[in-house]
Amino acid sequence: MDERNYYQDNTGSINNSAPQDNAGLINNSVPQNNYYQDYTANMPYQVATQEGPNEYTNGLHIASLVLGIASILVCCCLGMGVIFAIPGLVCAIIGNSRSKSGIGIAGLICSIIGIVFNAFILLIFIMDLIMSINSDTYIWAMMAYYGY
Amino acid sequence: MQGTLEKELYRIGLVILGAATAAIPLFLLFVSGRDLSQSQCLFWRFFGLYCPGCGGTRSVDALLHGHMLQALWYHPLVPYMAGVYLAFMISWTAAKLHLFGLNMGMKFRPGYMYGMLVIIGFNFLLKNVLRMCFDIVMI
Repeated sequence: MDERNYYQDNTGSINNSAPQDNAGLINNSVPQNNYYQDYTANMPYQVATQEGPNEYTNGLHIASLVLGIASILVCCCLGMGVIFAIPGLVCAIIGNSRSKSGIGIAGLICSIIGIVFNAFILLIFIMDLIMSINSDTYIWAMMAYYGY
Repeated sequence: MQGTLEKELYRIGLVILGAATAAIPLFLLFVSGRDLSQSQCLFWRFFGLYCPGCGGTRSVDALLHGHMLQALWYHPLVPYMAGVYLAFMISWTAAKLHLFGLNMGMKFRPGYMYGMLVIIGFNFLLKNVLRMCFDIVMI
């Protein structure tokens, strides 16, 4: 068998111990070129991606997201959503301090949005109460309607 | 790690149970029984549309009085969340007490939360489309 082994050193010279053609084929027509060349010198160091030890969803993340969404849904009820938004924010802060998760960040954002919306609506409600304490405005009419 | 998540959720569920034990009597005392047929939602007042939470209070009221279909009609999210919560808590309580040969309760899946968002969006669209296009008032 006429093997053709190519060895290329740093200077680029080729040392082959057997006659060869340009294709470098051996007698059995199966191309086998054994090159030794270090390709790893310029490759960046690659690490398999994996979650860190602190990247997981915990129960407080889920609770904060549910409470945040509930606070946004209930904000139109004269800002009553604040009773969901504040616990949601507390759960988000504590949960995010323990571990990182997309759900935790979403819960934090929803709780903050809920607090902002509810505070705005509560402010409108309080201003309406203060400015029209003797007149038959929307708030007083609603309270009378409900029997208060 | 998944069993840890369920255990944390179970503890949070017990806290919710305690809060609901205090809130439900207050709700029945001050809100239930009132005429809630006329929506006073600010979103409705300013935009003429049902907000994504419209009907929630009536749904809770109907659920507390045992009217499941009525609760679904007013706002399907309320009976959905109540169902998921009860199923989770009952299954894990039975597992902790080793009832019915259970060692683990209901597994938490993110699909439950995606379902919540789908129900909110679907309810919002359905109510407003029915009202604006077909003049059908659901709440």
